[in-house]
Amino acid sequence: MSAPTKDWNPYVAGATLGFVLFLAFALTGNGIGGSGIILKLSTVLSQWLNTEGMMQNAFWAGSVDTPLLSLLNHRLVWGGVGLFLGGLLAGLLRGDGFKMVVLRGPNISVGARITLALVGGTITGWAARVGRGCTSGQALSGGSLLSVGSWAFMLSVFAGAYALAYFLRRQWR
Amino acid sequence: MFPMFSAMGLTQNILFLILGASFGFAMERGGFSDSRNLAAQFYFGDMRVFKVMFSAIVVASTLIVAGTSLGLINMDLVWVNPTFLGTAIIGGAALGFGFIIGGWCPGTSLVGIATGKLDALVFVAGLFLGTFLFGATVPSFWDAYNTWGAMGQFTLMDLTGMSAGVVVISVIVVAAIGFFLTEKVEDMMGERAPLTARQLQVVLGGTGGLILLALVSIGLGAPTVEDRINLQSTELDATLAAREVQMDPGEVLKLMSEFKVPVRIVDVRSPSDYNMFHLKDAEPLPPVEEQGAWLMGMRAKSVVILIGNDEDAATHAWKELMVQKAGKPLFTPYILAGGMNGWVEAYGHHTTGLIHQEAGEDQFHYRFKAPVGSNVDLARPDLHHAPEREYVPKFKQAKSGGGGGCG
Repeated sequence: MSAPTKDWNPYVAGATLGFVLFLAFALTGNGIGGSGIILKLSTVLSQWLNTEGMMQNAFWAGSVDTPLLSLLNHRLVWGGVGLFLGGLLAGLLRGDGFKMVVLRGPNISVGARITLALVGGTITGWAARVGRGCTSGQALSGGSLLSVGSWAFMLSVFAGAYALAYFLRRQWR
Repeated sequence: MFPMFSAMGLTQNILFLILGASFGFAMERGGFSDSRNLAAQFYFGDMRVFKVMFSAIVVASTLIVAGTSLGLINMDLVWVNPTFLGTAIIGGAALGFGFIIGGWCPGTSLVGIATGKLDALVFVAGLFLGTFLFGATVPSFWDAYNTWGAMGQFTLMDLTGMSAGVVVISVIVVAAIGFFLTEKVEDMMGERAPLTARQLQVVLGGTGGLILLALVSIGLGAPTVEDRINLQSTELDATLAAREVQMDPGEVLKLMSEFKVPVRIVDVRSPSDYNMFHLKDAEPLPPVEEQGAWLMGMRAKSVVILIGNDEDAATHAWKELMVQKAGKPLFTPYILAGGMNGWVEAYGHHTTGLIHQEAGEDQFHYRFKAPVGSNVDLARPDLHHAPEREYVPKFKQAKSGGGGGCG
Protein backbone atom coordinates (compact mmCIF):
# COMPACT_ATOMS: atom_id res chain seq x y z
CA MET A 1 0.00 0.00 0.00
CA SER A 2 1.32 3.42 -0.91
CA ALA A 3 1.91 6.11 1.68
CA PRO A 4 -1.03 8.39 2.50
CA THR A 5 -1.22 11.60 0.45
CA LYS A 6 0.35 14.57 2.21
CA ASP A 7 -1.24 17.99 2.59
CA TRP A 8 -0.72 20.37 -0.29
CA ASN A 9 1.54 23.36 0.10
CA PRO A 10 -0.81 25.91 1.77
CA TYR A 11 -0.19 28.48 -0.97
CA VAL A 12 -1.24 25.98 -3.62
CA ALA A 13 -4.31 24.98 -1.61
CA GLY A 14 -5.17 28.66 -1.18
CA ALA A 15 -4.67 29.46 -4.85
CA THR A 16 -6.92 26.51 -5.75
CA LEU A 17 -9.63 27.78 -3.40
CA GLY A 18 -9.23 31.23 -4.93
CA PHE A 19 -9.57 29.87 -8.44
CA VAL A 20 -12.73 27.92 -7.52
CA LEU A 21 -14.12 31.06 -5.90
CA PHE A 22 -13.34 33.03 -9.05
CA LEU A 23 -15.16 30.39 -11.13
CA ALA A 24 -18.16 30.67 -8.81
CA PHE A 25 -18.34 34.43 -9.32
CA ALA A 26 -17.64 34.24 -13.04
CA LEU A 27 -20.23 31.53 -13.71
CA THR A 28 -22.99 32.29 -11.21
CA GLY A 29 -22.39 35.77 -9.81
CA ASN A 30 -22.24 34.39 -6.27
CA GLY A 31 -19.50 33.24 -3.91
CA ILE A 32 -19.35 30.04 -1.87
CA GLY A 33 -20.66 29.83 1.68
CA GLY A 34 -20.26 27.37 4.51
CA SER A 35 -22.95 28.45 6.97
CA GLY A 36 -25.65 28.94 4.34
CA ILE A 37 -26.76 25.30 4.42
CA ILE A 38 -27.02 25.46 8.22
CA LEU A 39 -29.26 28.52 7.87
CA LYS A 40 -31.45 26.86 5.25
CA LEU A 41 -31.84 23.67 7.31
CA SER A 42 -32.59 25.76 10.42
CA THR A 43 -35.31 27.51 8.47
CA VAL A 44 -37.09 24.21 7.91
CA LEU A 45 -36.40 23.03 11.46
CA SER A 46 -37.86 26.24 12.85
CA GLN A 47 -41.24 25.37 11.36
CA TRP A 48 -41.30 21.97 13.01
CA LEU A 49 -40.43 23.53 16.35
CA ASN A 50 -42.62 26.58 15.74
CA THR A 51 -42.93 27.41 19.40
CA GLU A 52 -45.50 29.99 20.32
CA GLY A 53 -44.71 33.40 18.95
CA MET A 54 -41.48 32.24 17.39
CA MET A 55 -42.51 32.87 13.82
CA GLN A 56 -43.61 36.42 14.55
CA ASN A 57 -39.99 37.26 15.13
CA ALA A 58 -38.43 39.40 12.40
CA PHE A 59 -35.72 36.84 11.68
CA TRP A 60 -37.93 33.77 11.30
CA ALA A 61 -40.90 35.57 9.79
CA GLY A 62 -39.40 35.29 6.32
CA SER A 63 -39.20 31.52 6.65
CA VAL A 64 -42.87 30.84 7.48
CA ASP A 65 -44.26 28.22 5.10
CA THR A 66 -40.93 27.38 3.51
CA PRO A 67 -41.69 24.05 1.85
CA LEU A 68 -39.28 21.27 2.70
CA LEU A 69 -38.64 20.68 -0.99
CA SER A 70 -37.50 24.28 -1.49
CA LEU A 71 -34.28 23.13 0.15
CA LEU A 72 -33.57 21.22 -3.03
CA ASN A 73 -33.65 24.39 -5.07
CA HIS A 74 -31.12 26.57 -3.32
CA ARG A 75 -27.50 27.04 -4.26
CA LEU A 76 -26.45 27.39 -0.59
CA VAL A 77 -27.77 23.88 0.09
CA TRP A 78 -26.12 22.37 -3.00
CA GLY A 79 -22.89 24.22 -2.25
CA GLY A 80 -22.92 22.87 1.31
CA VAL A 81 -23.60 19.31 0.14
CA GLY A 82 -20.78 19.73 -2.39
CA LEU A 83 -18.43 20.95 0.32
CA PHE A 84 -19.17 17.81 2.32
CA LEU A 85 -18.78 15.46 -0.66
CA GLY A 86 -15.56 17.15 -1.79
CA GLY A 87 -14.12 16.75 1.70
CA LEU A 88 -15.26 13.12 1.81
CA LEU A 89 -13.66 12.35 -1.55
CA ALA A 90 -10.40 14.05 -0.63
CA GLY A 91 -10.34 12.18 2.67
CA LEU A 92 -10.99 8.79 1.07
CA LEU A 93 -8.39 9.37 -1.64
CA ARG A 94 -5.72 10.03 0.95
CA GLY A 95 -5.39 6.31 1.32
CA ASP A 96 -5.09 6.07 5.10
CA GLY A 97 -8.62 4.82 5.70
CA PHE A 98 -11.62 6.41 7.38
CA LYS A 99 -11.40 6.72 11.17
CA MET A 100 -13.75 8.39 13.62
CA VAL A 101 -11.67 10.57 15.92
CA VAL A 102 -11.98 13.45 18.34
CA LEU A 103 -9.20 15.87 17.49
CA ARG A 104 -7.63 17.54 20.52
CA GLY A 105 -4.36 18.70 22.01
CA PRO A 106 -2.30 16.36 24.21
CA ASN A 107 -3.47 17.87 27.50
CA ILE A 108 -7.25 17.80 27.28
CA SER A 109 -9.84 15.05 27.86
CA VAL A 110 -12.29 13.95 25.19
CA GLY A 111 -15.21 15.17 27.31
CA ALA A 112 -13.76 18.63 27.74
CA ARG A 113 -12.89 18.88 24.04
CA ILE A 114 -16.42 17.86 23.00
CA THR A 115 -17.92 20.39 25.42
CA LEU A 116 -15.74 23.16 24.02
CA ALA A 117 -16.58 22.13 20.44
CA LEU A 118 -20.30 22.48 21.28
CA VAL A 119 -19.80 25.85 22.99
CA GLY A 120 -17.60 27.10 20.15
CA GLY A 121 -20.08 25.88 17.56
CA THR A 122 -22.94 27.67 19.29
CA ILE A 123 -21.02 30.95 19.44
CA THR A 124 -19.98 30.52 15.81
CA GLY A 125 -23.55 29.79 14.72
CA TRP A 126 -24.72 32.99 16.39
CA ALA A 127 -21.77 34.96 15.03
CA ALA A 128 -22.24 33.79 11.46
CA ARG A 129 -25.77 35.20 11.48
CA VAL A 130 -24.75 38.46 13.15
CA GLY A 131 -21.95 38.87 10.63
CA ARG A 132 -24.18 37.78 7.72
CA GLY A 133 -21.85 34.98 6.71
CA CYS A 134 -18.85 33.04 7.90
CA THR A 135 -15.23 32.59 6.97
CA SER A 136 -16.24 31.36 3.50
CA GLY A 137 -19.28 33.38 2.50
CA GLN A 138 -18.29 36.63 4.16
CA ALA A 139 -14.49 36.73 4.68
CA LEU A 140 -13.30 34.85 1.56
CA SER A 141 -16.12 35.60 -0.89
CA GLY A 142 -16.72 39.21 0.13
CA GLY A 143 -13.02 39.75 0.75
CA SER A 144 -12.25 38.70 -2.83
CA LEU A 145 -14.76 41.27 -4.07
CA LEU A 146 -12.92 43.82 -1.90
CA SER A 147 -16.00 44.63 0.19
CA VAL A 148 -15.07 46.80 3.16
CA GLY A 149 -17.50 44.99 5.47
CA SER A 150 -16.01 41.60 4.58
CA TRP A 151 -12.49 42.82 5.31
CA ALA A 152 -13.60 44.27 8.64
CA PHE A 153 -15.23 40.89 9.37
CA MET A 154 -12.10 38.92 8.46
CA LEU A 155 -9.73 41.07 10.50
CA SER A 156 -12.15 40.82 13.43
CA VAL A 157 -12.14 37.01 13.17
CA PHE A 158 -8.35 36.96 13.51
CA ALA A 159 -8.42 39.56 16.30
CA GLY A 160 -11.10 37.63 18.23
CA ALA A 161 -9.31 34.29 17.95
CA TYR A 162 -5.92 35.72 18.90
CA ALA A 163 -7.49 37.53 21.85
CA LEU A 164 -8.81 34.27 23.36
CA ALA A 165 -6.01 31.95 22.23
CA TYR A 166 -3.95 32.32 25.40
CA PHE A 167 -6.84 31.22 27.62
CA LEU A 168 -7.48 28.14 25.51
CA ARG A 169 -3.90 26.98 25.14
CA ARG A 170 -4.56 23.90 27.28
CA GLN A 171 -7.03 22.67 24.67
CA TRP A 172 -4.54 22.71 21.81
CA ARG A 173 -0.95 22.72 23.06
CA MET B 1 -20.37 37.33 -21.16
CA PHE B 2 -20.04 36.17 -17.53
CA PRO B 3 -21.73 35.36 -15.20
CA MET B 4 -24.06 33.41 -17.48
CA PHE B 5 -25.81 31.31 -14.82
CA SER B 6 -26.82 34.03 -12.40
CA ALA B 7 -30.43 32.85 -12.15
CA MET B 8 -31.36 30.26 -9.53
CA GLY B 9 -32.31 26.96 -11.08
CA LEU B 10 -31.12 23.48 -11.94
CA THR B 11 -27.96 24.61 -13.76
CA GLN B 12 -26.93 26.82 -10.86
CA ASN B 13 -27.61 24.03 -8.36
CA ILE B 14 -25.45 21.56 -10.28
CA LEU B 15 -22.72 24.16 -10.64
CA PHE B 16 -22.75 24.79 -6.90
CA LEU B 17 -22.53 21.08 -6.19
CA ILE B 18 -19.38 20.90 -8.34
CA LEU B 19 -17.94 24.21 -7.09
CA GLY B 20 -18.66 23.28 -3.47
CA ALA B 21 -17.06 19.88 -3.96
CA SER B 22 -13.93 21.44 -5.49
CA PHE B 23 -13.82 23.89 -2.62
CA GLY B 24 -14.20 21.12 -0.05
CA PHE B 25 -11.56 18.99 -1.78
CA ALA B 26 -9.03 21.85 -1.74
CA MET B 27 -9.87 22.60 1.91
CA GLU B 28 -9.20 19.02 2.90
CA ARG B 29 -5.94 18.93 0.96
CA GLY B 30 -4.95 22.22 2.54
CA GLY B 31 -5.14 20.47 5.89
CA PHE B 32 -8.35 22.21 6.94
CA SER B 33 -10.01 18.94 7.96
CA ASP B 34 -7.94 18.99 11.15
CA SER B 35 -9.00 21.37 13.92
CA ARG B 36 -5.48 21.24 15.39
CA ASN B 37 -4.07 22.70 12.16
CA LEU B 38 -6.69 25.44 12.28
CA ALA B 39 -6.03 26.32 15.92
CA ALA B 40 -2.24 26.25 15.41
CA GLN B 41 -2.55 29.54 13.53
CA PHE B 42 -3.23 31.28 16.82
CA TYR B 43 -0.18 29.81 18.56
CA PHE B 44 2.16 30.76 15.70
CA GLY B 45 3.20 27.13 15.16
CA ASP B 46 1.60 26.50 11.77
CA MET B 47 0.05 29.56 10.17
CA ARG B 48 -1.61 27.89 7.22
CA VAL B 49 -4.98 29.51 7.93
CA PHE B 50 -3.52 32.90 7.08
CA LYS B 51 -1.57 31.56 4.10
CA VAL B 52 -4.51 29.70 2.58
CA MET B 53 -7.03 32.50 3.12
CA PHE B 54 -4.86 35.26 1.73
CA SER B 55 -3.64 33.18 -1.23
CA ALA B 56 -7.29 32.49 -2.04
CA ILE B 57 -8.23 36.16 -1.79
CA VAL B 58 -5.38 37.49 -3.93
CA VAL B 59 -6.00 34.88 -6.64
CA ALA B 60 -9.78 35.35 -6.73
CA SER B 61 -9.72 39.15 -6.53
CA THR B 62 -7.01 39.56 -9.19
CA LEU B 63 -8.83 37.26 -11.62
CA ILE B 64 -12.14 39.02 -11.00
CA VAL B 65 -10.68 42.51 -11.46
CA ALA B 66 -8.74 41.48 -14.57
CA GLY B 67 -11.79 39.71 -16.00
CA THR B 68 -13.88 42.84 -15.42
CA SER B 69 -11.34 45.11 -17.11
CA LEU B 70 -11.15 42.76 -20.08
CA GLY B 71 -14.92 43.05 -20.42
CA LEU B 72 -15.49 39.35 -19.72
CA ILE B 73 -17.23 39.70 -16.37
CA ASN B 74 -20.21 41.94 -15.76
CA MET B 75 -19.79 42.97 -12.12
CA ASP B 76 -23.32 44.37 -12.13
CA LEU B 77 -24.56 40.78 -12.02
CA VAL B 78 -22.21 39.73 -9.21
CA TRP B 79 -23.62 39.89 -5.68
CA VAL B 80 -21.16 41.90 -3.58
CA ASN B 81 -21.61 41.48 0.17
CA PRO B 82 -23.03 44.79 1.40
CA THR B 83 -21.15 46.45 4.24
CA PHE B 84 -22.67 46.48 7.71
CA LEU B 85 -19.60 47.64 9.61
CA GLY B 86 -20.98 47.25 13.13
CA THR B 87 -22.26 43.71 12.76
CA ALA B 88 -19.21 42.75 10.68
CA ILE B 89 -16.92 43.65 13.58
CA ILE B 90 -19.11 42.14 16.32
CA GLY B 91 -19.97 39.03 14.29
CA GLY B 92 -16.36 38.66 13.15
CA ALA B 93 -14.91 38.90 16.65
CA ALA B 94 -17.52 36.48 18.00
CA LEU B 95 -16.78 34.07 15.16
CA GLY B 96 -13.10 34.35 16.11
CA PHE B 97 -14.01 33.37 19.69
CA GLY B 98 -16.06 30.43 18.43
CA PHE B 99 -13.22 29.43 16.11
CA ILE B 100 -10.56 29.14 18.83
CA ILE B 101 -12.96 27.61 21.37
CA GLY B 102 -14.55 25.13 18.98
CA GLY B 103 -11.63 24.55 16.64
CA TRP B 104 -13.65 24.89 13.44
CA CYS B 105 -15.51 27.37 11.30
CA PRO B 106 -18.74 26.44 9.48
CA GLY B 107 -17.16 25.47 6.14
CA THR B 108 -14.27 23.50 7.61
CA SER B 109 -16.57 21.70 10.06
CA LEU B 110 -18.53 20.20 7.14
CA VAL B 111 -15.28 18.89 5.71
CA GLY B 112 -14.36 17.74 9.23
CA ILE B 113 -17.51 15.64 9.52
CA ALA B 114 -16.90 14.19 6.05
CA THR B 115 -13.51 12.96 7.26
CA GLY B 116 -14.78 11.44 10.49
CA LYS B 117 -14.03 14.16 13.03
CA LEU B 118 -16.49 13.81 15.91
CA ASP B 119 -15.57 17.21 17.34
CA ALA B 120 -16.70 18.69 14.00
CA LEU B 121 -20.03 16.86 14.30
CA VAL B 122 -20.60 18.35 17.75
CA PHE B 123 -19.48 21.76 16.46
CA VAL B 124 -22.13 21.60 13.72
CA ALA B 125 -24.78 20.73 16.31
CA GLY B 126 -23.62 23.93 18.02
CA LEU B 127 -24.03 25.85 14.76
CA PHE B 128 -27.72 24.93 14.71
CA LEU B 129 -28.10 25.94 18.36
CA GLY B 130 -26.34 29.21 17.60
CA THR B 131 -28.60 29.93 14.64
CA PHE B 132 -31.66 29.46 16.85
CA LEU B 133 -30.00 31.53 19.56
CA PHE B 134 -29.60 34.29 17.00
CA GLY B 135 -33.27 33.99 16.05
CA ALA B 136 -34.19 34.29 19.71
CA THR B 137 -31.92 37.23 20.50
CA VAL B 138 -32.02 39.31 17.32
CA PRO B 139 -35.35 41.06 18.05
CA SER B 140 -33.61 42.82 20.94
CA PHE B 141 -31.09 44.39 18.57
CA TRP B 142 -33.00 44.29 15.29
CA ASP B 143 -32.59 48.00 14.52
CA ALA B 144 -28.88 47.98 15.29
CA TYR B 145 -28.51 44.79 13.24
CA ASN B 146 -29.87 46.54 10.18
CA THR B 147 -28.47 50.02 10.64
CA TRP B 148 -25.11 50.02 12.49
CA GLY B 149 -22.55 51.03 9.93
CA ALA B 150 -24.88 50.03 7.08
CA MET B 151 -23.17 51.41 4.01
CA GLY B 152 -24.65 49.33 1.20
CA GLN B 153 -22.27 48.01 -1.39
CA PHE B 154 -19.04 49.66 -0.28
CA THR B 155 -15.67 48.44 -1.52
CA LEU B 156 -12.03 49.21 -0.79
CA MET B 157 -12.10 51.16 -4.09
CA ASP B 158 -14.89 53.38 -2.72
CA LEU B 159 -13.03 53.72 0.58
CA THR B 160 -9.67 54.70 -0.89
CA GLY B 161 -10.69 56.30 -4.17
CA MET B 162 -8.14 54.05 -5.92
CA SER B 163 -8.88 51.96 -9.00
CA ALA B 164 -9.56 48.25 -8.60
CA GLY B 165 -6.20 47.37 -10.17
CA VAL B 166 -4.27 49.52 -7.68
CA VAL B 167 -6.25 48.11 -4.74
CA VAL B 168 -5.53 44.56 -5.90
CA ILE B 169 -1.79 45.23 -6.24
CA SER B 170 -1.80 46.73 -2.74
CA VAL B 171 -3.54 43.61 -1.40
CA ILE B 172 -0.99 41.37 -3.17
CA VAL B 173 1.91 43.36 -1.71
CA VAL B 174 0.43 43.30 1.82
CA ALA B 175 -0.22 39.55 1.49
CA ALA B 176 3.33 38.93 0.25
CA ILE B 177 4.78 40.83 3.22
CA GLY B 178 2.43 38.83 5.45
CA PHE B 179 3.60 35.54 3.90
CA PHE B 180 7.24 36.52 4.39
CA LEU B 181 6.70 37.39 8.07
CA THR B 182 4.64 34.21 8.61
CA GLU B 183 7.43 32.04 7.23
CA LYS B 184 9.92 33.81 9.52
CA VAL B 185 7.72 33.28 12.58
CA GLU B 186 7.21 29.60 11.70
CA ASP B 187 10.98 29.19 11.30
CA MET B 188 11.46 30.63 14.77
CA MET B 189 8.87 28.27 16.27
CA GLY B 190 10.46 25.36 14.44
CA GLU B 191 7.24 23.30 14.26
CA ARG B 192 7.01 23.29 10.48
CA ALA B 193 9.60 22.51 7.85
CA PRO B 194 10.70 25.66 5.99
CA LEU B 195 9.61 26.13 2.37
CA THR B 196 11.65 24.17 -0.13
CA ALA B 197 13.34 26.05 -2.97
CA ARG B 198 10.74 24.61 -5.35
CA GLN B 199 7.81 25.82 -3.19
CA LEU B 200 9.39 29.25 -2.94
CA GLN B 201 9.65 29.39 -6.74
CA VAL B 202 5.96 28.52 -7.07
CA VAL B 203 4.94 31.21 -4.59
CA LEU B 204 7.14 33.91 -6.14
CA GLY B 205 6.12 32.96 -9.68
CA GLY B 206 2.45 33.01 -8.75
CA THR B 207 2.76 36.38 -7.05
CA GLY B 208 4.56 37.81 -10.08
CA GLY B 209 1.86 36.48 -12.40
CA LEU B 210 -0.90 38.04 -10.32
CA ILE B 211 0.86 41.41 -10.23
CA LEU B 212 1.21 41.28 -14.03
CA LEU B 213 -2.51 40.58 -14.38
CA ALA B 214 -3.33 43.48 -12.05
CA LEU B 215 -1.05 45.75 -14.12
CA VAL B 216 -2.91 44.72 -17.28
CA SER B 217 -6.13 45.64 -15.52
CA ILE B 218 -4.72 49.06 -14.56
CA GLY B 219 -3.63 49.59 -18.18
CA LEU B 220 -7.10 48.76 -19.49
CA GLY B 221 -8.91 50.65 -16.76
CA ALA B 222 -12.31 49.80 -15.37
CA PRO B 223 -15.09 49.67 -17.94
CA THR B 224 -16.93 52.97 -18.33
CA VAL B 225 -20.70 53.26 -18.10
CA GLU B 226 -20.81 53.31 -21.93
CA ASP B 227 -18.69 50.11 -22.05
CA ARG B 228 -21.05 48.46 -19.60
CA ILE B 229 -24.08 49.52 -21.66
CA ASN B 230 -22.49 47.94 -24.73
CA LEU B 231 -21.71 44.76 -22.77
CA GLN B 232 -25.32 44.41 -21.72
CA SER B 233 -26.90 45.73 -24.90
CA THR B 234 -28.58 42.43 -25.78
CA GLU B 235 -30.57 42.20 -22.54
CA LEU B 236 -31.25 45.94 -22.35
CA ASP B 237 -32.41 46.21 -25.95
CA ALA B 238 -34.68 43.19 -25.52
CA THR B 239 -36.41 44.82 -22.54
CA LEU B 240 -36.78 48.06 -24.47
CA ALA B 241 -38.02 46.37 -27.64
CA ALA B 242 -40.67 44.52 -25.64
CA ARG B 243 -41.70 47.94 -24.23
CA GLU B 244 -41.60 46.53 -20.71
CA VAL B 245 -40.51 49.79 -19.11
CA GLN B 246 -42.14 52.48 -21.25
CA MET B 247 -44.99 53.77 -19.12
CA ASP B 248 -48.08 55.41 -20.56
CA PRO B 249 -48.77 58.98 -19.32
CA GLY B 250 -51.93 57.60 -17.73
CA GLU B 251 -50.01 55.19 -15.52
CA VAL B 252 -47.39 57.80 -14.66
CA LEU B 253 -50.13 60.22 -13.58
CA LYS B 254 -51.74 57.48 -11.49
CA LEU B 255 -48.46 56.66 -9.70
CA MET B 256 -47.74 60.38 -9.16
CA SER B 257 -51.18 60.98 -7.70
CA GLU B 258 -51.66 57.97 -5.46
CA PHE B 259 -48.51 58.14 -3.27
CA LYS B 260 -48.61 54.36 -2.79
CA VAL B 261 -44.97 53.96 -3.83
CA PRO B 262 -42.07 56.41 -3.57
CA VAL B 263 -42.07 57.91 -7.09
CA ARG B 264 -39.11 59.94 -8.32
CA ILE B 265 -39.83 61.95 -11.46
CA VAL B 266 -36.46 62.48 -13.14
CA ASP B 267 -36.16 64.94 -15.99
CA VAL B 268 -33.37 64.20 -18.48
CA ARG B 269 -33.97 67.28 -20.72
CA SER B 270 -31.93 70.46 -21.03
CA PRO B 271 -32.10 73.05 -18.21
CA SER B 272 -33.99 75.45 -20.50
CA ASP B 273 -36.66 72.84 -21.28
CA TYR B 274 -36.84 72.02 -17.57
CA ASN B 275 -37.35 75.68 -16.68
CA MET B 276 -39.92 76.14 -19.41
CA PHE B 277 -42.06 73.29 -18.05
CA HIS B 278 -41.60 70.14 -15.99
CA LEU B 279 -43.78 67.69 -14.13
CA LYS B 280 -44.63 68.22 -10.47
CA ASP B 281 -41.69 67.45 -8.15
CA ALA B 282 -39.45 66.57 -11.09
CA GLU B 283 -35.72 66.58 -10.39
CA PRO B 284 -32.99 66.86 -13.00
CA LEU B 285 -30.94 63.72 -13.74
CA PRO B 286 -27.46 64.02 -12.18
CA PRO B 287 -24.49 63.84 -14.59
CA VAL B 288 -23.31 60.29 -15.26
CA GLU B 289 -20.32 60.44 -12.91
CA GLU B 290 -22.59 61.35 -9.99
CA GLN B 291 -25.31 58.81 -10.73
CA GLY B 292 -23.65 56.02 -8.72
CA ALA B 293 -23.76 58.00 -5.48
CA TRP B 294 -27.25 59.26 -6.31
CA LEU B 295 -28.51 55.71 -6.78
CA MET B 296 -26.79 54.64 -3.57
CA GLY B 297 -28.77 57.21 -1.58
CA MET B 298 -32.09 56.20 -3.09
CA ARG B 299 -34.70 54.24 -1.15
CA ALA B 300 -34.65 50.57 -2.13
CA LYS B 301 -38.09 50.45 -3.71
CA SER B 302 -38.08 53.86 -5.38
CA VAL B 303 -39.84 54.06 -8.72
CA VAL B 304 -37.84 56.31 -11.00
CA ILE B 305 -39.62 57.61 -14.08
CA LEU B 306 -37.39 59.21 -16.69
CA ILE B 307 -38.84 62.09 -18.69
CA GLY B 308 -37.46 63.19 -22.06
CA ASN B 309 -39.06 65.22 -24.82
CA ASP B 310 -39.55 62.07 -26.87
CA GLU B 311 -37.91 58.82 -25.80
CA ASP B 312 -34.32 58.87 -27.09
CA ALA B 313 -32.59 60.75 -24.27
CA ALA B 314 -34.72 59.04 -21.61
CA THR B 315 -33.90 55.64 -23.10
CA HIS B 316 -30.18 56.35 -22.91
CA ALA B 317 -30.53 57.57 -19.33
CA TRP B 318 -32.47 54.38 -18.55
CA LYS B 319 -29.54 52.31 -19.85
CA GLU B 320 -27.09 54.33 -17.74
CA LEU B 321 -29.12 53.66 -14.60
CA MET B 322 -29.67 49.99 -15.41
CA VAL B 323 -25.95 49.23 -15.58
CA GLN B 324 -25.22 51.17 -12.42
CA LYS B 325 -27.97 49.89 -10.18
CA ALA B 326 -25.87 47.03 -8.75
CA GLY B 327 -26.88 46.21 -5.21
CA LYS B 328 -30.39 47.57 -5.80
CA PRO B 329 -32.18 44.53 -7.19
CA LEU B 330 -35.57 45.97 -6.23
CA PHE B 331 -35.08 49.13 -8.20
CA THR B 332 -36.22 49.47 -11.82
CA PRO B 333 -36.29 52.75 -13.71
CA TYR B 334 -39.10 53.44 -16.18
CA ILE B 335 -39.44 55.74 -19.17
CA LEU B 336 -42.38 58.07 -19.83
CA ALA B 337 -43.74 56.65 -23.10
CA GLY B 338 -43.91 59.38 -25.73
CA GLY B 339 -41.99 61.74 -23.46
CA MET B 340 -43.10 65.24 -22.59
CA ASN B 341 -44.54 65.72 -26.06
CA GLY B 342 -46.79 62.73 -25.48
CA TRP B 343 -47.72 64.07 -22.04
CA VAL B 344 -48.85 67.40 -23.49
CA GLU B 345 -50.81 65.64 -26.22
CA ALA B 346 -52.54 63.55 -23.55
CA TYR B 347 -53.35 66.23 -21.01
CA GLY B 348 -52.61 69.67 -22.55
CA HIS B 349 -55.79 70.38 -24.49
CA HIS B 350 -57.14 73.03 -22.14
CA THR B 351 -53.86 74.43 -20.87
CA THR B 352 -53.76 78.18 -21.38
CA GLY B 353 -50.68 79.85 -22.79
CA LEU B 354 -49.38 76.67 -24.37
CA ILE B 355 -48.00 77.25 -27.87
CA HIS B 356 -47.21 74.53 -30.39
CA GLN B 357 -43.90 74.98 -32.20
CA GLU B 358 -42.05 73.14 -34.93
CA ALA B 359 -39.10 71.24 -33.50
CA GLY B 360 -36.93 68.25 -34.34
CA GLU B 361 -36.82 64.80 -32.83
CA ASP B 362 -36.44 64.59 -29.04
CA GLN B 363 -37.05 68.32 -28.74
CA PHE B 364 -39.98 70.00 -26.99
CA HIS B 365 -42.76 70.69 -29.49
CA TYR B 366 -44.42 73.22 -27.19
CA ARG B 367 -43.57 76.32 -25.25
CA PHE B 368 -45.20 78.79 -22.93
CA LYS B 369 -44.95 82.54 -23.37
CA ALA B 370 -42.77 82.61 -20.29
CA PRO B 371 -41.25 79.68 -18.41
CA VAL B 372 -43.77 78.15 -15.98
CA GLY B 373 -41.74 75.41 -14.31
CA SER B 374 -44.36 73.20 -12.66
CA ASN B 375 -46.79 76.00 -11.79
CA VAL B 376 -49.53 74.78 -14.13
CA ASP B 377 -52.14 72.05 -13.76
CA LEU B 378 -50.48 70.23 -16.62
CA ALA B 379 -47.55 69.46 -14.30
CA ARG B 380 -49.87 67.04 -12.48
CA PRO B 381 -53.44 67.14 -13.70
CA ASP B 382 -56.14 66.09 -11.27
CA LEU B 383 -56.40 62.34 -11.72
CA HIS B 384 -60.20 62.37 -11.56
CA HIS B 385 -60.72 65.09 -14.14
CA ALA B 386 -57.95 64.20 -16.53
CA PRO B 387 -58.94 62.40 -19.74
CA GLU B 388 -59.04 58.67 -19.11
CA ARG B 389 -56.51 56.60 -21.01
CA GLU B 390 -56.35 52.95 -21.89
CA TYR B 391 -52.96 51.40 -21.34
CA VAL B 392 -51.14 48.24 -20.36
CA PRO B 393 -49.69 48.82 -16.86
CA LYS B 394 -45.92 48.41 -16.75
CA PHE B 395 -45.22 48.95 -13.07
CA LYS B 396 -44.25 45.78 -11.23
CA GLN B 397 -44.40 45.79 -7.45
CA ALA B 398 -40.88 45.03 -6.23
CA LYS B 399 -40.70 41.82 -4.24
CA SER B 400 -38.64 41.73 -1.07
CA GLY B 401 -36.20 38.97 -0.37
CA GLY B 402 -33.98 38.28 -3.36
CA GLY B 403 -30.35 39.23 -3.63
CA GLY B 404 -29.14 36.52 -1.29
CA GLY B 405 -25.63 35.28 -1.06
CA CYS B 406 -25.16 35.09 2.67
CA GLY B 407 -22.94 32.27 3.50
